[in-house]
Amino acid sequence: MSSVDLETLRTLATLARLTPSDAELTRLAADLGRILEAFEALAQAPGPRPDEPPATRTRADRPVPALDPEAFLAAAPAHEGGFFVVPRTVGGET
Amino acid sequence: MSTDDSTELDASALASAHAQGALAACATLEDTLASLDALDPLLESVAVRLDQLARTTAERLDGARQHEFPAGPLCGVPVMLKSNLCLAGVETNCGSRALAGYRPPYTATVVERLLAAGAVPVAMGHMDEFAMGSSGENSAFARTRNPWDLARTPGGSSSGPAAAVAAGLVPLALGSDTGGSVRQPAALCGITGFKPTYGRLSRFGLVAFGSSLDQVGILARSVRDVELALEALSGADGRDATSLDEPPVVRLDAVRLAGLRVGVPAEAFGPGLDPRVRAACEAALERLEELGCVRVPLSLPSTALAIACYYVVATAEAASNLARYDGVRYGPRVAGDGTLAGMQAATRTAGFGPEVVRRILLGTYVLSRDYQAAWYGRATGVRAALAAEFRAAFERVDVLAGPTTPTPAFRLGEKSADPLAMYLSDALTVPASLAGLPAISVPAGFAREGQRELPVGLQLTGPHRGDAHLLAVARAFQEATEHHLRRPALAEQV
Repeated sequence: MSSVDLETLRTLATLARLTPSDAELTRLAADLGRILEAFEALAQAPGPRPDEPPATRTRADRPVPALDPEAFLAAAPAHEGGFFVVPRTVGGET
Repeated sequence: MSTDDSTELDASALASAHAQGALAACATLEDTLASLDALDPLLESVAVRLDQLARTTAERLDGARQHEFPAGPLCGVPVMLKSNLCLAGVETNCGSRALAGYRPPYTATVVERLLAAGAVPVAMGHMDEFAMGSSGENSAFARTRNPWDLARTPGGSSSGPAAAVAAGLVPLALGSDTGGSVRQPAALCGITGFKPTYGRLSRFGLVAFGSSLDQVGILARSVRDVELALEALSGADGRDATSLDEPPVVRLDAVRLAGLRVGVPAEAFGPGLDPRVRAACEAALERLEELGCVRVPLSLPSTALAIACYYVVATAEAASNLARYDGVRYGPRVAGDGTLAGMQAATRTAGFGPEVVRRILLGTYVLSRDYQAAWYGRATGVRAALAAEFRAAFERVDVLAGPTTPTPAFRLGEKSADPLAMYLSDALTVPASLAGLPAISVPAGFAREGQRELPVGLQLTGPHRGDAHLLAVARAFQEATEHHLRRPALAEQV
């Protein structure tokens, strides 16, 4: 339960959209293996219990003032015409 | 009142002096800025100075006083904000290269309320990257030092705010506490640090780490200052669905300690506790008994699994929350191979430091299909069991007491290569976080370390929503002790 092999870690990194170097992956695999080994006592714990009802609440369904979308776009690395700009994902060259 | 005194005063005394006209907010601010100039180079607590905003705010406050407008409860009190609390237009970088230069377009609810109460924001404070750390060393920008010993950590992740309050640079600061990030640095720096009941302070505008655990916290020199701030900052917020639907917390009058039942969990005094911390906390418990409290030994068995539980839950939530930093909406972008996926991976890999990467991968692992039930599922079970143990305990006692940290402040670099050793620093603070309970660290004594003395914190924990009573108990302890009045001799260390 506690070891994390390099291939698994590489898959996890891809899922997390990270590209650590091979040396970093080796170090991370050792770190995670050691951390999970120390946490193994969790395996002896009872399984999940039904969650308590969440303490969240909903607000009234009525419009309230919101910030101008431009204010949020201004923090982006690239934006144009009210949209975030990203590398092209379909339709050929960028 | 001489302005030379202003950096010696706590927030309550300062606010009162400003409200009565005995002291001008502008004069206090200039003392604070001079103090930052002189001492912060030693500490590296400040991430961003807000001199212009602070001067404008102080001038407005003094003008309002001249026209006899009512003064807010924090009138003219200089404050530091941890760099994960949004203040519109001010760099809020969370100690991360991934948010370097990020200026949010909105202000956190607690910061809005702080400003409405008359506080003067003077700086954003350094912190561990995305609040992940217990020493401040995970900041991408600074290595904040402990004013009691500059070779040691101030604790983390609210490292800058804790060091600044301890050194007397500011009397009050806001931090955030996910697994102890306000209480642990407060203990290591010899100040008072409070994490309220989950939902007591709005999280709107607090950059998310582990959303079921994150809570804004208050760092100050005294419990009475914490109460002053909590009264101004608490209250329901429609912009945070987890905020408690309750009015602001009102400070209680003095509580009677005679007959107060103080539960002492055996697990809090287990192996691994530094003997000097044990001795200081035992002495604090004896002081409470002298004041009339009744000591009730008890056990919270699930706390033995609290660190494992916490680091599974918190990393799972962090892996989800930090997915948003992908070079599209915030922060610097790295082009990578020119594809969208390549840009996102290159941006994230360049933006995140080693501890954040480690936690994202751990969180991704414990949520992955093959391991989710074994890790995340069991952690949620332990969390529910722990909460039930706390509820049962509070049927027998009024507060729980024990050490805040297993050791006094450790040396910078001592644990930075060993993530597990660093995680264990949080062993005594994560239980209250997992159960969403209010908890406070108050100075309880000192540990001799060579020529120096290092502060020790006593953690008091209250039942869910019992913030006001917990604070009144902590205040009563503080009024009967003098540990919180001592100041580090910073100048002698230069």
